Amino acid sequence: MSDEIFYKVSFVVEGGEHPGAIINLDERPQVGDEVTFDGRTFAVLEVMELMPTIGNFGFLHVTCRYVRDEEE
Amino acid sequence: MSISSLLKRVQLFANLDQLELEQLEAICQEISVNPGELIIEQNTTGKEMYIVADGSMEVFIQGLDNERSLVVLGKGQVVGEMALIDQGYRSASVRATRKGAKLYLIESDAFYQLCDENNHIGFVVMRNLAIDIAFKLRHRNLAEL
Repeated sequence: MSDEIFYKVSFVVEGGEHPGAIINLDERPQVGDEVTFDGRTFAVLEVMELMPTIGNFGFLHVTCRYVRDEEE
Repeated sequence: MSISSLLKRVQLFANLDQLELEQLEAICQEISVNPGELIIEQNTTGKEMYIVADGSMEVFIQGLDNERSLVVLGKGQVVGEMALIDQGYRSASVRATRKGAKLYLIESDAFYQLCDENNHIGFVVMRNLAIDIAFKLRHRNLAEL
């Protein structure tokens, strides 16, 4: 098995107007990072472990805030 | 990203060895989906699951006169996997988001045949599927707070 750790990340958007997303990332997100999904950019506000790491997958939950639409 | 790199990053296939990933790769069909294009329609039957390779897909449910978005699934996520288990009606609809998506399609018949030939693949994928469902339930609980 590879030593690499991949992250399956649950994103919930503050305010509840966006349904949130589940995306795999190669790097653990950090507070203050910007992430893009669904054509929009969001700022990471909080990162927590949603489930214990299993094998080479970490399972995280991120709360984030809408910042802007992705540039074309 | 190549399909082999992608499959290594799909949690559903975690703990499969390189040969097993190559066997899975052999039954994947690449498809491109236009923005807004529907690939799964609620309350219909289907025997395919899809892996999101690029872009994202929106999962939503439709009522009589409204619809509600449930989640957006991005790279590395699997869509339509419940059809692999119960072969029942689709529980939700799925369409590409505003930029479209590249997906890999796996037919359930080809997948089951592979599992019959290599029981380890079947065992690992079903265990990972349980983890995936637990993860989605936890996400849903937090999203509804």
